[in-house]
Amino acid sequence: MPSAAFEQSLVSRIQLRFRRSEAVRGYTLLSPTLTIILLGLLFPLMILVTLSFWKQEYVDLIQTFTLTNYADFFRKKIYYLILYRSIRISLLVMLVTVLLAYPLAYFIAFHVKWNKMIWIILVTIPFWTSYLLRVFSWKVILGYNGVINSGLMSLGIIAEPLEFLLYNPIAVVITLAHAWAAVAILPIYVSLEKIDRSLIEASRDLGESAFMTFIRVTLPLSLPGVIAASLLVFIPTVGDYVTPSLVGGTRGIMIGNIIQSMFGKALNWPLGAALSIISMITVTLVVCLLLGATQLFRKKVA
Amino acid sequence: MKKFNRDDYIEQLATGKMSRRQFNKVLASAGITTVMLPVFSGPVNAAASDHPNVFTWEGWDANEHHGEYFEKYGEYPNFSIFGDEEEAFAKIKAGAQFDVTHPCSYKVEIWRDAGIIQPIDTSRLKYWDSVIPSLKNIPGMMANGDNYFVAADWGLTSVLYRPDLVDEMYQEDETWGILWDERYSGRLSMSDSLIDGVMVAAIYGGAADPFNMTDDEVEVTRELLRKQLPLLRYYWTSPTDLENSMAAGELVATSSWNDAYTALKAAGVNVKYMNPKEGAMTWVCGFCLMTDADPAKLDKSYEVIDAFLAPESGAFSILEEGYGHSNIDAYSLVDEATLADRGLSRDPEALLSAGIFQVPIGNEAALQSMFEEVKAGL
Amino acid sequence: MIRTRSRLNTLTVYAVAYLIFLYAPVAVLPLFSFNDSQYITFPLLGFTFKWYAQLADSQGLQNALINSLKVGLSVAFLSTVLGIFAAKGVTRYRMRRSGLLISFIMVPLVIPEIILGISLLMTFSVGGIKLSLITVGIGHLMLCTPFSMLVLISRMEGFDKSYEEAAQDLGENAWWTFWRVTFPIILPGVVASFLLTFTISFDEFILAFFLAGTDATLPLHIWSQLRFPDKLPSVLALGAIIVMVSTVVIFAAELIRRGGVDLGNKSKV
Repeated sequence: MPSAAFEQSLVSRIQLRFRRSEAVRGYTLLSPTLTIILLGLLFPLMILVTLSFWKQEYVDLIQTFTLTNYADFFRKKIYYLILYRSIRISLLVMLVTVLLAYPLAYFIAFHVKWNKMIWIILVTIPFWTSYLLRVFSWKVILGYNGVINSGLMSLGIIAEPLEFLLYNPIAVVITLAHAWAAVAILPIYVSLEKIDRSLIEASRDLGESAFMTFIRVTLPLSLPGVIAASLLVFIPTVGDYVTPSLVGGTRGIMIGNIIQSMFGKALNWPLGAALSIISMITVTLVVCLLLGATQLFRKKVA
Repeated sequence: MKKFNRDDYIEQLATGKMSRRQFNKVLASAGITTVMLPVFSGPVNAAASDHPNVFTWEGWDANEHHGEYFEKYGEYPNFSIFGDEEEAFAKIKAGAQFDVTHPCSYKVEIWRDAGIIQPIDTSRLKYWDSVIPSLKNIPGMMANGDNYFVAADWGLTSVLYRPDLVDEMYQEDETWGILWDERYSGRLSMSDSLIDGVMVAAIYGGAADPFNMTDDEVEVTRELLRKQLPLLRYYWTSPTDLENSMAAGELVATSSWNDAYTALKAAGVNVKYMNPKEGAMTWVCGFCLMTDADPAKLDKSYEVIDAFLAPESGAFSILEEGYGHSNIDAYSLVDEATLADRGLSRDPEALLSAGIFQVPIGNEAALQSMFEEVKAGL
Repeated sequence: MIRTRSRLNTLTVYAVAYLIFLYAPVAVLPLFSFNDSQYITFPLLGFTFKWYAQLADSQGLQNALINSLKVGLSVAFLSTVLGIFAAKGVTRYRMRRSGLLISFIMVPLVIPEIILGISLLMTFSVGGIKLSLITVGIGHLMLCTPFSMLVLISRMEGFDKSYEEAAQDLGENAWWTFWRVTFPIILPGVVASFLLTFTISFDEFILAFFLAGTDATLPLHIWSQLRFPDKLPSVLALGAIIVMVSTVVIFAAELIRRGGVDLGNKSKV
């Protein structure tokens, strides 16, 4: 084939280019993902930013530049109060979820010998039923005539159903900690699984106790997974509005509910856009703080 | 050290040097891709048929409401479901295309002002003449001599309560006030909406026109909502919540649509539905034609509306769903005892004129943010 | 490794307790799917199959299930592939500003879903793209790719390059090296990512609401059925079936696979 020679020279030229720089190869691998996210996000983000500087009057968008929406955030107590509450609840959910998930991930990674796959899938199966159904089930369990109340009443422990189990922020935390369990377990398991067992054995051979080995070897090495899990739980829960409205009662309202209402009932898209941007920035700042804290922890332990 | 090798693979392929085992492996991986991709790009657009796209409440997509349409075409229209008109509005405003929608009458004005609905030529509707006369003249449905709305179903918003769990006096003295009775703290609920929630407080607070309140009246309403907040178990968003809670005795009283009453009574739960002295609310929902409707599907869109208006569809509403219907002939298909049991009669006009008719709410946005503040505990 | 017996037991007890916590809400589903009442409340009234019969009749529900499987599997596959590329790129090669690029890929996570939904819908409508399962899939891809990437990065971080280099020194090409060396090492991460992204897409509601045309996904269908109590028990029946069938399928698959190499061992190379 006459073209073969040309092809080969082309191939070797490309090869040369790639050899020149590690970074280029990194970027090349990153580019499909980046392109898709860029294509999918650029336009929506532009719309969001533009909207946030407009103003809504009745059904019309007034397309002149204004900072009113951002000013509203600081002027009206409700918005920053709710944002603060949402961040607090999400941090609590993150903490509870990750703390509960870590021992299980540890168990699967180190104590399960033959059926790791089964355990991993066992952990995910409950999440193949609908989220809405699971939230509903929690209402059945915690509810007035629910599993817990009926059980306690038939045992004669209580005479009247306990009403404090449901429709409050605690119920929101329980439901969310359950809902995001798989999201926390999987990354932690993945990072524990890759730890070189000989490191742990070496530490034990050097006379470290099991506990100190965990603190000094296992935990720091599994930190990437813990961080991934924390972020994956924390970030999306801030914007959740379904769970708070289903199990939170009158007190469970979160920033997601407010934003949703701006795009629905309150019909104020520009304010909704501004609130989203503010909450995105806040979430990013909190994430940076979290990452900074883990860096400190890492340095301290190491 | 050999580094970037993808090109070797191309090279090997080109020169035929790749081993068979190697080649199979590559094929297998490519196979995964080719198996997966059709799944992704499969016949997902099968529903893009020549039937109209109908955006409606869950329940209104029941086959019984589209019997005549099915008889003619052997298929049903395409349905998408919304939970309330506000989220439907958001989806439509953002660019989703539908031919027919099913909002309630108090939303018609704002939808028309937003330019998303077009006039309906009622002369093209076979059953228009059978529509209850007062439902042909609802505030907001006409503009510049054009009709934008065809009433289809109606019902009430009032107090649903458990007579076995509350003071007997409420059976004599029917009032919205039960929803503010501190004896039932934690056992009450209200609708999480302006029209069925905040308006209840407005009516109870004695606003002259709840749908167009003065500033003072708004303040009275705000105070009532604040007072009520700690008494509520939750604000309900779907009939499922409140029906389950009423059946369990978790709630003793709530604002509710009349269908919940019908369903709970049929299930043997001891419930009653009030006719409050301050007035129950009446609502009407029905059809709009969308501005973006596909002109090629216009005829069929009218037939979708007609099929819903058919007397048999109406009888199904009355018997199975517990709602009123706009076609007067539907009532003669149901015996009088059953009608009475549903709180209806052969003369629906009288019922319709007795309640406070839900009309567009003045300054909706301000009221909504007031409601959000109350819910946030401010 | 020396391990005391009691510590093992505590962890095992914990693991079982955790599984009970995970499965408690799921166990409620079959309970009420056989209960002869449309209300989900105690006491149970009687045993019935009628909700399952109703389920068999519901064409809408079956279509929704198939739609969700289609979208979920496609999204899980594509986002995991994208995740592998991206994670390999950032963990293996030293790049400037890679942190910034990762953050950018994470942005869809920070945007409240309702905003992502509405703005994607506006984008599609400007571009004249009709709403369908594909648009839902695109939305889910935005959401799932960051998840996949994070899981895989945590797997690949600190990954020992020498394995790959050894293989390449032995004359294997890059693709071959990836399949035979890299892939088995990152396999637990790939499986985790696939499961996670499938689960997220299969269960996603808010984006689907805005981006779906007339084909409903399962969460959309379930949500519409949740609004009225008489449809609810059938939905519970479906939930019960999904759990039972997936459990049976997975255990059957594991039994068949027995004798094959276990995932955990494989990862040790």
